[in-house]
Amino acid sequence: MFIEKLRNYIAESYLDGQSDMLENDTQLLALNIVDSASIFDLVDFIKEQTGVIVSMMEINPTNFSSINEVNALVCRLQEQAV
Amino acid sequence: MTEFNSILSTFEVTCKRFPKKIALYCLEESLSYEALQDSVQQWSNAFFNEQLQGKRILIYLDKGIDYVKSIYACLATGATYIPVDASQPLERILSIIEQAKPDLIITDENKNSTINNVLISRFLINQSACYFMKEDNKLVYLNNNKNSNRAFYTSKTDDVAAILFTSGSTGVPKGVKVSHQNLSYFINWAVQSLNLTHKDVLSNHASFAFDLSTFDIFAAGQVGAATWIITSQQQQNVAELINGIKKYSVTTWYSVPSVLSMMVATNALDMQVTKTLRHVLFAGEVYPIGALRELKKCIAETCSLQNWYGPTETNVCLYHKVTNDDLKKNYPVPIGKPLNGIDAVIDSDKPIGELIIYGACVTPGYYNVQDKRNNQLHKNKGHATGDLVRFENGYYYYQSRVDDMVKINGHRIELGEIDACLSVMPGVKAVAVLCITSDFQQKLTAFIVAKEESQINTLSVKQFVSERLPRYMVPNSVKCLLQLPKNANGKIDFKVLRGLA
Repeated sequence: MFIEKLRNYIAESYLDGQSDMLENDTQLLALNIVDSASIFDLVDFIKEQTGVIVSMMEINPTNFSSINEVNALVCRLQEQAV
Repeated sequence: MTEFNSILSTFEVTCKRFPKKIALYCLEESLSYEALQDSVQQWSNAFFNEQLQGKRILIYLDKGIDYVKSIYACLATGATYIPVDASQPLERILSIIEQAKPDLIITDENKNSTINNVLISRFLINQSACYFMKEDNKLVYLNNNKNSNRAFYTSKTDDVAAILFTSGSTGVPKGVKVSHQNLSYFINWAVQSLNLTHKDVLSNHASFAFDLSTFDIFAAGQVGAATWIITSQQQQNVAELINGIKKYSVTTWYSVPSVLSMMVATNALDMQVTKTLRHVLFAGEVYPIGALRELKKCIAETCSLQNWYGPTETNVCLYHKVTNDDLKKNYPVPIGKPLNGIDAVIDSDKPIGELIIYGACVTPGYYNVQDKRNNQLHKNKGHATGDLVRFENGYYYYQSRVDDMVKINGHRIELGEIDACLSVMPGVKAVAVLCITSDFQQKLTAFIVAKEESQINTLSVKQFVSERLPRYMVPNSVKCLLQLPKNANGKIDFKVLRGLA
């Protein structure tokens, strides 16, 4: 599941592997887990894992505010591609 | 004696010369100079009648057109405006209110409900009718009859126009006074140096609590240019930023480097987007040279690219126009030369020393904190910046800091303020916060010693700080230690800590 991989990736890259309190609705930007520069790392990760290319128009704080939101974005883009 | 041309008096002239011109854009709204002046007149009359001349007015609103109306209304009353960034946590806003001790708070009904316990009169901005809410909760509605007889207040050079709150090393936000002379000096320089006219369109990316915003509003107000106010929701939204440059045909962009880099990273900032830009100005932190080269590729050869330098206490005091030669070097571009009439001095016999600034740009002083050395300097229009610089071939270059203040994405951060915040977190016995700089990024790391029975989790630390301090002060990583390393004098050994990061 992409959402699991995403959670692991965020825990490993930004939380020294501590995943115990990281929920799918944890606020990634508000808690400075992900910042405006690391959004681009997430975009690369999404492309690598799912082949989905996130366009500039989709890169905004709402779409990256939580694991759920990122997952929803990827699902939406995958559906659009079909 | 020639009359002092304050930013307020030039704004009044602009309103007469260009009544129909658009002064402000924000989201789907726009406002002409005539309409802006009407609101400013009405509100400042009301403030004047409330005897607020010479008093302090705190503005607690979201970024938008009403914010700018409020700023001008304060100045037109002869009051000092104290801008608050409403996107910051409530705890910090309350801390600024406590420090600022304003005589009035301008806010809206939504935000007002968050500060119910504050015993200060309010001016509530409301779509249908604005009104005062007095300390005893009595409501006084604004008289809609325009009483435009009273002229705007005539600002004097020493009047304090604004107090800008920045990070304080002891955990208390530090208020920097900005005089009318400071603003007028800077705006005159900027308008001439950039040859700004009523045809220009300026971006306003920075929060109004940040000194960069004084250029965006007051330079436009001086010449009749338009300002596009970027809301706090739009600030990090690259698509909206890039679309806005096109939509409003922005001619002058001013922001911190990280915002420009973010736009460049999308590959969407191309010549088609940037063709209307005459000036791209950046300030607030070092622009990494590699990233600056990438930016240069996105803008026309004729567009000037400038590095503006200065802490809040001096606003812009040095500037540099980036040349193609600068971009060939492997180190950051210089902070340049002082503005006309400003003296820059290196406080050392060695090639590298602290930069001291003297001149009309220097703050009259801090509002709420004591800083022995600078208090003395401020009396003589001098300010010790705390920045270590070198002087080479006629230009100043930034090297590093004398203390542990850091800049992240242009935000000034005293590590001591984060220390102070975390030291009261339940379960925390001791804490030290460091900023670790690598080639690509800066990271705030909090080293924490937990009390015996306590467990400290990274996310709980982030949660705790995010409720009290602005997001840019939330540590990126948290390391738990059994004890903080100490040197022979019993002080925290930061060298050892750095090695642990």
